[in-house]
Amino acid sequence: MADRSQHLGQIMETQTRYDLNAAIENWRQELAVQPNLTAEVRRELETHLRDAIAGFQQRGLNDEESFRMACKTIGQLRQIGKEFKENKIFPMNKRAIGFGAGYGLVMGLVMFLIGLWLAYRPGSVFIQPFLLLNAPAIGLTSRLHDESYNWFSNAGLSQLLAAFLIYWSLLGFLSGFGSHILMQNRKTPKHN
Amino acid sequence: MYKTAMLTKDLVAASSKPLLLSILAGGESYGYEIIQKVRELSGGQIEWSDGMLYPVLHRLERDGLIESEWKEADTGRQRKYYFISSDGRKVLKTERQQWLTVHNTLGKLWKHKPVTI
Repeated sequence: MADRSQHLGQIMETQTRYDLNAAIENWRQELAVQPNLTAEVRRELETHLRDAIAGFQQRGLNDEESFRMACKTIGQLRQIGKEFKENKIFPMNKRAIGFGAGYGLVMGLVMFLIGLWLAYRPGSVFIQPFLLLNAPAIGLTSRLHDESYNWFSNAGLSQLLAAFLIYWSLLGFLSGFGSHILMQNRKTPKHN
Repeated sequence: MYKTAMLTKDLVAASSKPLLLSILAGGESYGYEIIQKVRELSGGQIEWSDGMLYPVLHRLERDGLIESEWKEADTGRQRKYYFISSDGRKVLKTERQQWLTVHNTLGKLWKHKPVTI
């Protein structure tokens, strides 16, 4: 008798288990279409779902109820995806800063060398655009000393180089940050 | 009998960091276990939507406050375990001081009026 009921129980269990697996598979498919969720996060969430199902089963709920409750406690997958998307804002800012710094080093150095080259070519057509492009850096740096200061000394040249590097890295940072903000605004869906 | 209100959304958001860091300071853990622990310790008053735990955990990991590792549990199921980093311990210390400041200030204000929540 005990054997028989156990056997019956087993049959029922395998039958419901089959349904449970199908339900989990459906849930996984819904999970897979969520943007912003990496494969690792999806795996984590699935483990969580399975743990939660086991937890409810232990409390005596049947497979279907356990699955339903587990889904409910995990919450809206779309909402989780949204939250993960917001996580990304910071690394983007960091990227913008990194972009700015790299951009600044390269552009600052290039501009500095162009400046040196132009210094030996008075009357060049490039002087005017160069001064215009670097006006803030040159203008602010030139205020540091009076007119008799020798900008071609080591100290003078390093001050100019520093000014160019700072100016261009600032520009790089601002453009990186600006494009980030634009992208954010474009991607953010309207709140309902 | 007294009735307690559920934590507001703002409070849940603000307290999640010290809660998670404190739990992990007591030993490594994984998402499901962390949720169970919070539920148990708060007497069910702090109810997180389970899935929302993961963005927070990943944020803490990104900020270097916790670290993680996939490991096989006794059941044979692979789980992602989280543990606190040394930076996390430092942040927890400041968080702790700040929450205690709030707690003590409110405690002084309410001293003569026992509060039934």
